[in-house]
Amino acid sequence: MSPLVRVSGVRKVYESEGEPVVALQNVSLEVVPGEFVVLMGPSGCGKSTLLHILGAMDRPTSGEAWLEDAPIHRLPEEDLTEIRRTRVGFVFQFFHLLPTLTLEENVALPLLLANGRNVDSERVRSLIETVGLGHRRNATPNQLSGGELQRAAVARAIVHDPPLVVADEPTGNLDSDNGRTVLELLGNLAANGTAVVMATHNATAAACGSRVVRLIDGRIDG
Amino acid sequence: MTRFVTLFYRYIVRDLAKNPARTLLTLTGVALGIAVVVGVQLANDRAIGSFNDSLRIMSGRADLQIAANGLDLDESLIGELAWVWDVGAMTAIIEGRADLDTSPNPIERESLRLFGIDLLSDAPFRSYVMAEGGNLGMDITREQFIDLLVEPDRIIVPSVLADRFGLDVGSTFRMLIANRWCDFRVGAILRDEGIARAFDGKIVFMDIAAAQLALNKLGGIDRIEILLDDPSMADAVAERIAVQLPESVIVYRPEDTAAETEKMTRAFRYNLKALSYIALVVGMILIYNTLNIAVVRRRGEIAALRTLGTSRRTIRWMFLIEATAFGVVGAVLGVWVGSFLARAAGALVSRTISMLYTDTAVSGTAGGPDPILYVEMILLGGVLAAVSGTGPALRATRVAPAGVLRADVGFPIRIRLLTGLGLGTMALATAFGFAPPVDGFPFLGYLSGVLFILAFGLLSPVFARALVRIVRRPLASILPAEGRLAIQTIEGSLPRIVVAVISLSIAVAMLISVAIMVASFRDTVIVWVDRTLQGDLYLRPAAFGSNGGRNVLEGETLDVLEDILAIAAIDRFRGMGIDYDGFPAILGAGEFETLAEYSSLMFMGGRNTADVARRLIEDGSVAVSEPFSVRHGVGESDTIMLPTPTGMEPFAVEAVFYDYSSEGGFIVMDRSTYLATFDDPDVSNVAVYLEEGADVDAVRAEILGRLPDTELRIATNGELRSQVLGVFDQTFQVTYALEVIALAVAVLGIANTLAALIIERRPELAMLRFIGAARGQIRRVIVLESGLIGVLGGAIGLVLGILLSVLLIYVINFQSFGWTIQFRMPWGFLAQSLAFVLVATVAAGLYPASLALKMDPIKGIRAE
Repeated sequence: MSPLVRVSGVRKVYESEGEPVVALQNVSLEVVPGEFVVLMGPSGCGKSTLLHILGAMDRPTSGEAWLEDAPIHRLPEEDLTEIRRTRVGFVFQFFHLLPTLTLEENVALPLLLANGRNVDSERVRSLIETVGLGHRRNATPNQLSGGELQRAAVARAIVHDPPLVVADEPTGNLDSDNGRTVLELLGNLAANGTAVVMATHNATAAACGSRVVRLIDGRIDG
Repeated sequence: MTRFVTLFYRYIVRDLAKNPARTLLTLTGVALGIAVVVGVQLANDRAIGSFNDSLRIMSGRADLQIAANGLDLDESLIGELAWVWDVGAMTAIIEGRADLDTSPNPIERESLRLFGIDLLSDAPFRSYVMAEGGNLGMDITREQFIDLLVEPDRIIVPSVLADRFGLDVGSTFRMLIANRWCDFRVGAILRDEGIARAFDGKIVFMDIAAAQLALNKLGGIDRIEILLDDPSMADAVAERIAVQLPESVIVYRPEDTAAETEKMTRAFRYNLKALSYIALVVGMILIYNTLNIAVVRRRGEIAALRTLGTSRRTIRWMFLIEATAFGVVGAVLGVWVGSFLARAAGALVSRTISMLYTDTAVSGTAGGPDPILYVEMILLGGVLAAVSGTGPALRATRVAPAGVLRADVGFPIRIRLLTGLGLGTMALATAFGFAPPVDGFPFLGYLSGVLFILAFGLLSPVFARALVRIVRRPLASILPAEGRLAIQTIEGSLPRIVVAVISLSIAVAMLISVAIMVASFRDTVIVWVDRTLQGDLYLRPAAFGSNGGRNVLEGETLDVLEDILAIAAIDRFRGMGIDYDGFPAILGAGEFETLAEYSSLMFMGGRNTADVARRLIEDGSVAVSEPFSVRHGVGESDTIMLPTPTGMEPFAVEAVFYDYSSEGGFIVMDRSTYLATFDDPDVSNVAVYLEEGADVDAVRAEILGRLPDTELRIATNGELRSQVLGVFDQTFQVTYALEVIALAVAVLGIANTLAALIIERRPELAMLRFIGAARGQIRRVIVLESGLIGVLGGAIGLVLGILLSVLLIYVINFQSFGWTIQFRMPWGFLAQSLAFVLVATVAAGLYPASLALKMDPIKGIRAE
């Protein structure tokens, strides 16, 4: 099966207070559709940086990064925005739902940004049902628990049916029960053909993945 | 203490330094607010101050003054008061006006004051220090003194005037007095000090006998001044003089004149002052807003500080001191800017005050710094800022230590409570709106205005919520993504943006209310001009002002008018300034038969001009103008006492007419009554009515051609109308400038609020970028939010503005000036203003939008 995501020889250097900081060093990785890849490693090892490059949120300093046929490493900002809008779903540790929108509106947000008035409400509602929040769709984020918020965030990540879902510590702010539910949701996505890449340093969460990639000091271990 | 200072520096000062644009915006808002107050205060003080200073200098050391209330005093009175010489000194004065040959256009000519002094008796009263040294009456040579005394064309000029026109002793100096250019010769030059500086040096002196000749006032004087050996006897001497002289003659202390100027210009200055404070109020709301948002934005940090053991008191003081510092630093900047603003405003205010009240051009731009005012303003800035910061500071102390773990959505507002309070305040405001004036001044009207503003502030959340609901659907259908996001943000952040909405609505309301008032006033004046100015030509002597009623047309001029066939009729008007119950008024006499046939006055109760004219002629009664009627509580069927040559005489008031040309008001009678009572055949000005089909320009040319040596100011109907409206428009120039500044401060407030919200919403905006929002979409969302604040502030401001305009027109203006104004909506101007507000608020959103786009979404997403 041809890879959905492919990075090769990626290096990422940040500047911090005038000093260069190497976040990734010669990283190569391929992810195929339906795969659930877990990135593990200590804080600051480059997991999030790699996720951002895979998710077309950032470009490598050198090396190549492809999402299907799109060369992330050399596309302009507008094209990366378009890729994120259509081909990537993000799940964050802190959920990041808009506090002034209802759950349903939050889930529909990517469709609203992409399509304007042509929001497929049926799909939004059915996804909310799928993540088990049908009874809460009119609630605002401050009325939801942490687990509910993250389930809503997962629904938002897949509402536009992206081939790739990128999750950065999605269980980091949840208790074990809610964490398990979210991991099951992500696992189901992968089972249905979506490529999922998740960063975590929780070994239990990592066990849910189909493949674990360890990062140490910006390099893939082994 | 050291610990507090360290904490304050690290927590507050560093945060301010880290957000320089926001800090600067807040400081600019406060500085502009203070600058406007300082500018207007200085301009007011200087315009009135320099006029009163001039009066004080001119009154010299006199303890008492005697004048005949608009009429001439007979010089023989000095003989009757000979006993005064036993208790002090006495001198006589004549005061007149002359125009200078500074422009061929009579309207643009500068004028000066001409004083006739008794060279023999004036020395104890005033010091005339000569440019070459020496004192008039003491040190100048006998030849010089005799020359000044006996030659009727000799004048003494201040060195400022001499320098400006290149005059030396012996030079010829040309002045226009009433209808004639007269050549005078400089007899002496005064050094630039004391009396020579009165009225900016636009003053000349001459011997009283020569002045009587020049001003066509033989045998008459304007006032007698008395200097007592024992000033404590002033009251007793005044009483004795009052008993001895006719009732129409008044004895007063020189300082009473200054108090009268203060009183006369009070309404104008207070209105201006009240408007200037609007910008300051808006500036203070800006401080409240900045701190409020800072508290919300930093609640996590506050909670952390509380967790680490910082007391509530320390938190409260840190925010209070931050607010006070904003106020004080902003005020220092404001005072500096205000002193410059005073120069621009000074010229306008001074011109308006001299045009409307003092009839004397005093620059008003001169004047040094006023340290007491500056210190007052800096203290005011600090105190108001501390008051503005109290709410946010108390809110900060309510952040619980545990708050660090759980972010809330901000601070709630109790809409029901606020709405209840708002409605209560509105009821109170309405009640005060119906209250009568206090001491002739609309204090309760102003209070009503302040309460309406407060009521709308309290009702703003409920108004804003309702308006958001109204615009939600149309906006979402135009811009589905950005529109919905902007609406949701505004609705969700209402507690935080409502303060920006309030400050904008106040500024918009003031602009709109004043615009409606001015437009209504202007339209009313136009209607009044159309109805009452029906003459084809208006003639008056060319020299400036009425010159105390002495600038009169010459008999030859009137003869020529009678002789021109194309002239169907003339209405000869005689006017003179009098003092009525401590306020200036104009006593006038016109030809009511002609007026009734060719023109009209607008009488209250819709009375017919011909009917009133017949009664005035037959009964010898008077009509008074509306401002006079309102100020003195005089109406139809009342009787008023007027000064006449034979003493105070009663006159029945037949009718009250609308008039917008004099704030002091008119008392008019028919010319036949005037001639019988005052025995004064002079004519101040004439309205000329032409035969049908006559050519106005040809008649004007004929009049001027037949009077080659007479200097007349002849205006056609159209010219007079545009002069009237020109004066009107100039009066409101300062007002508009103040409004625009208040609006600018409010727009700064919006930029500030949104910038603070952007920082707070950093993770949200980052998330939007992550899930595929384009940069343009983010920009549009923020600009739309800004525009929505503009729409909310504009809509609330429009309603409040209309309400305030009703208050201004029917209460404040009427109680201040006594003018009935017909309400009119200037739709075009309102549409332009609201469009400007919308454009300005949308522009204000560009700065926070650029802030949002500069943020790194990757850092933003971690900001939680």
